[in-house]
Amino acid sequence: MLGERALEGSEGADRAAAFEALARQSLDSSYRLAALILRDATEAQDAVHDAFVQAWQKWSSLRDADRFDAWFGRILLNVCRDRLRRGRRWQVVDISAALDHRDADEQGRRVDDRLAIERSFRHLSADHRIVIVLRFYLDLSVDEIAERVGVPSGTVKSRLHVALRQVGGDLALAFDEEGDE
Amino acid sequence: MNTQQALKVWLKDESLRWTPPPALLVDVIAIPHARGTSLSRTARVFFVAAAAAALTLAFAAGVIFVGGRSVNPGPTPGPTSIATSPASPSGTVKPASLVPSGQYRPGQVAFVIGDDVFVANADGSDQRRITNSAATGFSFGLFEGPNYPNPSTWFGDRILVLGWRQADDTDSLQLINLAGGTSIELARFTGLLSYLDVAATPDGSMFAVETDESLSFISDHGSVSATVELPDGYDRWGVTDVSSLSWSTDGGLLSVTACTARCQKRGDPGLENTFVVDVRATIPKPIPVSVDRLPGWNAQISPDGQRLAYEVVPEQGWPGSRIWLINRDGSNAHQLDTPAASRIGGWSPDGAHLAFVEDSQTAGLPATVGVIDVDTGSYSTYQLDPEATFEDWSPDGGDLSFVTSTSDNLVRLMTLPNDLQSTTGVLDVGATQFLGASWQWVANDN
Repeated sequence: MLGERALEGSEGADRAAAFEALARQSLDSSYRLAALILRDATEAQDAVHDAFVQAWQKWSSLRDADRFDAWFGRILLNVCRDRLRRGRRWQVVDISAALDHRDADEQGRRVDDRLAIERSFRHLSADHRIVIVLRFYLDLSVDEIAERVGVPSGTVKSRLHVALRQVGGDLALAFDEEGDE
Repeated sequence: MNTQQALKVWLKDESLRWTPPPALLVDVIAIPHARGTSLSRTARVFFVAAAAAALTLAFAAGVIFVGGRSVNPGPTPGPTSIATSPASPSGTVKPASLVPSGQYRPGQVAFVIGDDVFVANADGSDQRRITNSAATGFSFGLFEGPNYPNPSTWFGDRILVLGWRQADDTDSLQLINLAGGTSIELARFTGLLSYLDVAATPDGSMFAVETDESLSFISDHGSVSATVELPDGYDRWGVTDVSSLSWSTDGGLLSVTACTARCQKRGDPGLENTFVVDVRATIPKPIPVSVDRLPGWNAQISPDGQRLAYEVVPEQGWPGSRIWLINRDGSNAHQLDTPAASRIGGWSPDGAHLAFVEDSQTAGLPATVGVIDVDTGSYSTYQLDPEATFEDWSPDGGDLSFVTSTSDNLVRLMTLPNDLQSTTGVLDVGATQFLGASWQWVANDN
């Protein structure tokens, strides 16, 4: 783990090496986070790329390497948000992945359940996707999410409320329809 | 299990199936050394980003002022070349009835750099920024919507763009005047917006604006002329990953898709149907094309409004779509015999031909594009760069344009005659986000 010392007074190759080390360290988690939000492997790769490019361009503004995760996390979330909002690419659900997963699902959850969640999640706005992933994947508190996203805590609560209401409604509707069939 | 628990379990499970490819790691760690000679993918992205920034500045070149400040000139941005490609065709049958009536070539191109829209002549001249994100707070970007291909955004002297303002989470659909940069706001959406599709009449005087909850007709002055109620038994408009809207040439008829709640994407097991709305009616209503469910997507109404082309997804699921035709009264549904699985590009202006693009394109391999005579079934095909998408027909139907990309992921616009015997132009747009191109008549003696 690189500490503050790694960045102090570092120049040129040292700074590049410090960046490289932190990039390596956060690559896996960053990619997973982006993929969960964007729901697309290629989009996630591009988002992580773009985020690292931005991070490198802003590298001189980071004085404390211990703040890298939060600092880079916000960059990545903004990139994901922009990609969702500006690109507006709608992807087809990868049903095969869900089917593959069924065999390994020891708890016996049905593929339809997973697809229903997937469908509902994909129809959330960028902001709502982000708060859902931060809250229920990273287990961040409302205040931590607020800090990470850069909005007031009340806004986070509101977004969580709206997103959960929408997902809950979608799931109830989907399950009701299944029950009708 | 409640909603929160379900989401938690789903997210944890889903995270396990996302693993960054090894190449990504190699690329990422190349960033700090990107100023060297070896360009990994990420390094190229870095340089593209840097180039984009440079290009933004370059637009000044003594002409453009950004945010009221003059900026330094830089390398020439935007369109850089028009060349003729010697690529050989793979076509088999030349469409018999279309005779090119002129030489249309790309006139102007619009693209996005940073948060603003730029327009330039196809030869690279007269480049100018037509939006001002710094002043308005809106980030203007590529409006893709759910359409395939992208909706045409050019309407004579205006262009359709979508802006997003982070401060108040607002989307704004605007018509920008190319000459003066003034804009008319057609619609504004605040907060949650999970679906948006827009289609304009060919003359650009009327816009169908569709969200999952509403379908409205808005004039080019920004006034709402009508809204259309969802048909009974349907829960939402549109299908999120395909086009839902298309207009007849006279702007009198609109085709649109409505779905049940479970039918949100192509292939969902819900109920969907295609409807035609007579916009000239006192109270426009959606009339189903087929009493039964029309098992297809991406329906596009013919220029005369009498037929619809639509895509049928195979039983095993996407990709592999085939193109079908049906009369507006629901009769004579039949499959077009395209050479391979295909998706609809667009109707020719005279309604005699359909452009199509190979479905299930294989990454890295050339893409088959084609033109088929919808009455005789004869067709021509051509091999274009991978992941080619249909862009537009020229106004006289004599030429078509397709969009591909360069190795640096910059947009390349390729034009071909309607017999697809050769490419007649290759235009490198010089940006990654392409909004569209207008057509310009070039006399034969030029």
